Amino acid sequence: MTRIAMSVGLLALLIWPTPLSGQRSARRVIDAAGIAAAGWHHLADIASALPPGGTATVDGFNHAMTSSRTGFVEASGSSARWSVRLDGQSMPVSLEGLWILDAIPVAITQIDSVVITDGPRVVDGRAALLGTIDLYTRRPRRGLSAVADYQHGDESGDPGPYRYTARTAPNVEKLGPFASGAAAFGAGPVSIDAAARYSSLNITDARIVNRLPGVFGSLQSDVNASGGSGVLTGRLGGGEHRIIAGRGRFTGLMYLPATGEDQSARVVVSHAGISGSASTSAFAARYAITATLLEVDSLGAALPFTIGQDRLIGDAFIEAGGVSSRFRFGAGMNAGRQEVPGVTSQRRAERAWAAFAGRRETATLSLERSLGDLRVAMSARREAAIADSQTLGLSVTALNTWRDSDNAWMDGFRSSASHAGSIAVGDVRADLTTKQLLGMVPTWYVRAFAFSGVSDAGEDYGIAAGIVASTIVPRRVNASLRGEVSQTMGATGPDDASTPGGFVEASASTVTSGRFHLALSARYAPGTVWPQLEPGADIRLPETRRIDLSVNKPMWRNRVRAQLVIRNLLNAAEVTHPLGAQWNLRTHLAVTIALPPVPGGSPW
Amino acid sequence: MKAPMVLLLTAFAAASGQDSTSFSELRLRVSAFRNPVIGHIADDWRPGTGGQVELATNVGRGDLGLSVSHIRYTPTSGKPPFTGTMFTLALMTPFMSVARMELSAGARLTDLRLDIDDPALVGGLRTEEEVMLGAIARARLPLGHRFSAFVDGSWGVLMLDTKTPVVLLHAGVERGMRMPGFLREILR
Repeated sequence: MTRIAMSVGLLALLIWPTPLSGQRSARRVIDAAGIAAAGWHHLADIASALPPGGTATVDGFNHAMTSSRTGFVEASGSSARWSVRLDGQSMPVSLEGLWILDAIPVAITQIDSVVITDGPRVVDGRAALLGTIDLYTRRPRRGLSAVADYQHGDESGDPGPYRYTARTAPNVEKLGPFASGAAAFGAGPVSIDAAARYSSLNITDARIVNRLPGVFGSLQSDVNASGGSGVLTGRLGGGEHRIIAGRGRFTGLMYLPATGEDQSARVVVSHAGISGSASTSAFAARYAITATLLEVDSLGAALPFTIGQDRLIGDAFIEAGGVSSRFRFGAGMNAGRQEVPGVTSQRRAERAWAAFAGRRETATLSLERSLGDLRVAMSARREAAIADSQTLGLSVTALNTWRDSDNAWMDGFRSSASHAGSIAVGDVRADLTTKQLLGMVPTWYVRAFAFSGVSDAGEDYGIAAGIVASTIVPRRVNASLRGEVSQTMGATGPDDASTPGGFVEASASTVTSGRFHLALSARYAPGTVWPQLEPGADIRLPETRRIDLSVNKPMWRNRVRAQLVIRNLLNAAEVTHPLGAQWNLRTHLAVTIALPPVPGGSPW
Repeated sequence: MKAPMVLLLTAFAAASGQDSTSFSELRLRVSAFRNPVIGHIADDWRPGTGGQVELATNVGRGDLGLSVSHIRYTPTSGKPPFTGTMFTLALMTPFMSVARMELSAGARLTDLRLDIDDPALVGGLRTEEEVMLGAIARARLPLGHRFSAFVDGSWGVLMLDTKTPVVLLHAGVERGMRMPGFLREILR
């Protein structure tokens, strides 16, 4: 299967070159209006934009993220992971398979948009096996401006007066507060945007409390994150440059998917980086240079603490080419140093790549070397008009990593987990965009993929077919639809159905009288089966049946926005991790203040 | 749960209309209410008579109101007493007129704050908040001089761990007035 995938990939590279970024069926963009409609108020909320089954969370705060067709058990291992970037700067804020998204050095009030590209691709010369999550910061306006955001929510299921009767059941959940504020100043080609944030979530769900008898009382009763961040933007040399610096701090209970351990930890992330582009009449380039420090230590609870470490990761790359040329060439380096008590490990990886961007074709071929590992990755895409208003796109991604015999990597560092040998990934996708259907433009797609050597289990392969459709021009009612069915076979087939075999999502939004922005979204996915994490039978998680409603009301000429969000209106049991909390119906109230007012029609 | 959701969406759709007049009127309502249905809470507590103050405005053809109400629950089996304070957002739209009487219906979302008078509980547990989704219907009779009398009845589900049906019956008076300019500016 591995050889077949590589052969198909190489053939496609020769015929139809690409990065998968052009795939409409695999790409979703959430802009400021989408963020408001979704009711996001802290960074980890972006995980909810992954397809149903794409994320598993114990506390609703930190997430194990996979794709909708690969199991969590394998994805939490060494290599199958998302690539998360902020303005093009790499954000390695995962720990043993757990993403601490709130540690990314930016506040949600500084975010302009989020772009999620689902599927393996080559990005900045590096293979991202599951896809990319890109966050883009806002462009501050001229002069001084400020925005403040506060949200408080509550989950249903409190005992109330029933605590004095036989009907009582433990459940106390406060959702929040999630608060952030940013102040910016823009003058000419330069702007600076500084922010602070705080978010907190109780962990007093009965499923967590009962799992830690005798210990829970010694734990911090919430998980929380805080931090400060600054973005300095300047235009220079025919391009835009961004310096991002910030610090994020997480404290609380963490369940680590890769090791199956609960830890009570403090994680501090410090980041500094610069990214941007430059061009002359003959030459264009883009680049990023970053340094990220993760410091993990114990909160001193009664749980054994095993993940104490300091980790410094640096990454740099540049991609350049002639303005009139269709070719770009890039080179990059990634270096890391990890200190755990008694052990210091270092790594360094160099990569080089070539990219081609034609009118309808794109392609990237990259080579990466790290200690004894050698990785070859390629992706290619070609689009063709096949009839009036109809286009067909074909994308192929393939990568192979030849590994040093005893090199086993966790979060990029040497670990006791063993995944020796070769890792191969093949992914072929065809998408067909057809004429309008019910006022929306649908793209139908089919995809075949194979993972080999990502886990000890062996080779996985599968097929998927789906539809993505949305209104492309503003209408009275804007709507979108996504749906997919998939079948995974091989090692993670019947034994690991921890991600659903399909899903359907739909959303609609409109503006009613009185300028109330009303948004409704629904999603369905079948139940999942997780391999036993503790002695006992496999664990079945319920199907996803969820309807969310949000109402946003801009007031005082767009200076103030009041928001009401009701999640899980059907009050269906919502559990994404066998050891995690159950999420019932919940309501969120939020207020956002922007001074001076949001201009124009307001993204609210 | 599905019924209140359908009602909420229906109310939103029905409230849509000419937008130029939205927020032109301010309506003050004062009422007393009874709570004849309170699920299994009635096994051990008896609700008293509550009071409510509501501020509302016109949105399209509908009526959007924000109210605060308070009621006390007296134990009948030796358990601690508690009070309920409800913060309610209600969206209603008129659907029928009978003689001078106007009938309207819609959806309401309530945050119920429970203050339990139990010194044995730690401070954080004496106060709880829970959400209630429900439907509401109202009959309003104009009395002249912008005064009206109204009665309304609402049904909802209080989302405690034991789902609790709640029926509230209100009777009161309403005073309509022009929305102050600054307030209308803020709301628009």
